[in-house]
Amino acid sequence: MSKKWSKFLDAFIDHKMYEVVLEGLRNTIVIAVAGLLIGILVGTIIASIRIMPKYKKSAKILDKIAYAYVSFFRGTPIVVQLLLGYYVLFPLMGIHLSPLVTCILIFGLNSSAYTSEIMRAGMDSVDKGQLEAARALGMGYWPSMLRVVIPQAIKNILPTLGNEFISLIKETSVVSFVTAMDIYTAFQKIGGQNYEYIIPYLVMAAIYIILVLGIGALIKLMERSLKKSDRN
Amino acid sequence: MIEIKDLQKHFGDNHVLRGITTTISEGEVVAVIGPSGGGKSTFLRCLNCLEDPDGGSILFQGEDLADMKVDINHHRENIGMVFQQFNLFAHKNVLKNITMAPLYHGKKKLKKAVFSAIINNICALFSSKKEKTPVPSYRKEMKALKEEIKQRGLDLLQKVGLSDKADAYPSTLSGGQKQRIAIARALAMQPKIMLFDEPTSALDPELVGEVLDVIKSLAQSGMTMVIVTHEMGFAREVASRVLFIADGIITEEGTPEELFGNPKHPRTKQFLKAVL
Ligand SMILES: Nc1ncnc2c1ncn2[C@@H]1O[C@H](COP(=O)(O)OP(=O)(O)O)[C@@H](O)[C@H]1O
Ligand SMILES: [Mg+2]
Repeated sequence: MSKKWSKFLDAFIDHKMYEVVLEGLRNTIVIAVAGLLIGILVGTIIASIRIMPKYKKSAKILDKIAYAYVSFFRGTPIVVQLLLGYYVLFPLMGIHLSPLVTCILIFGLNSSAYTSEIMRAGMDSVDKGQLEAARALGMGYWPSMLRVVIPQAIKNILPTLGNEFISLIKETSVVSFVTAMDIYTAFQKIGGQNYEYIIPYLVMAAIYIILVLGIGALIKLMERSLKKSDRN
Repeated sequence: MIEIKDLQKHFGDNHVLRGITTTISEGEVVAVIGPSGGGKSTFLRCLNCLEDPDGGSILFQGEDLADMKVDINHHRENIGMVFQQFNLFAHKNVLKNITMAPLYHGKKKLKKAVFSAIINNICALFSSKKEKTPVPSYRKEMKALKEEIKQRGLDLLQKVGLSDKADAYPSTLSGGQKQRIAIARALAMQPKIMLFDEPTSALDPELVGEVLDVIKSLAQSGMTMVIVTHEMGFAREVASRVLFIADGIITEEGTPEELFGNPKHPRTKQFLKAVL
């Protein structure tokens, strides 16, 4: 075992593999954070479309489109979406995107499908009278949603959004399918240096656990400070 | 001020408003009374199209609000509404509750003014006209606007007797305080008419008085109002006209003296006997 450790340390420090790990760690976090932000943005728009009153034809059509979008992203594996994006869709559209940017986009769109459902539940939990009061003051549907309903909805779903972030962190481990560098690819490389995978993969698992636990603790902190402002 | 003709509303098979016709003149205080489920709230909510009427017309500021093509948001700026459940914005403090909508509208109008001045000047460049439209300074005007609206909010808070609550959040207020803030919030838009839907029905009895006092002083200041209420004594005191709505129509209307003192329709008599 100690021999395996020394081999790992040899690769990790002497062969500067820690730089690769740091890059992988950075990418994992960047994809998850940017993916979550895109997901919240697009997801909020989709949720607002889906709860819009349906007496206008345009609202009905938009709702159908939103439904199809959500079904696609929830109904296919993220790996398939990454492959489709990186090898099919973007090249067909003539857009050249780096693996990292592709991952950010695809994870963002994928997450938006889940976030839209979370957000919809959050909006449903905001009393109907809130939107009515804003509308009665002459504010349009979107400005009212933006200023009154969405801020309260986000507050209500913050813990669930935290869970979504944690799933994103874990799901990024498949980005090597489109040649992006993340924590997994970094440790894969370290192992490949001398075909010793046991320690690298154990350390990799530890890093994921530390990340997830750390984020969980941060979310708890945020929730607690929000509850305080409730009492105000 | 507002002219309602043959107003109709269905909820599915439920024919809730069956042809309401009445005109509310400037400065009038109209009390709406009647049995529960008779359509009072629906009538009031149709006036600012929180419920879309499906027949008849509502003439206001020269337009028919029942026509789905009108810019309803523009008209709602001039129609204040106070709800039974207050509906204060839970995530904003009292002052921000009051100033949010006026700020939103003021900002929008200012942006429009700046934009159209710029467009005008660009057009002037390409035409023979040499006059330039002065472009308002967005930052300067915005600052003045913010100051003005904040002051308006503080004045209104004083008017409803809650100056000390500017920074408080709605969850910390009593029902009576919430409703007085809700009234101030509606007034901050400087509406031409105010609609009240049972403003005291969700209040503990000892808090009813403070809210009615605010509405009374508003009536004395000449505000045009439509008030759905179960407070018969209050209706009698402040209303210039009382509508009795049952089963989706105005069964009877008149001055408070006529309606309370000498009701003619058996339905009105029966209702008044039960509540008085
Ligand atoms: N949003 C709605 N959907 C379906 N039915 C409604 C709705 N609002 C009111 N109604 C029905 O319309 C009728 C009149 O209600 P409402 O106007 O609230 O009466 P009131 O205010 O006089 O008590 C009732 O039968 C009520 O059930
Ligand atoms: Mg009612």
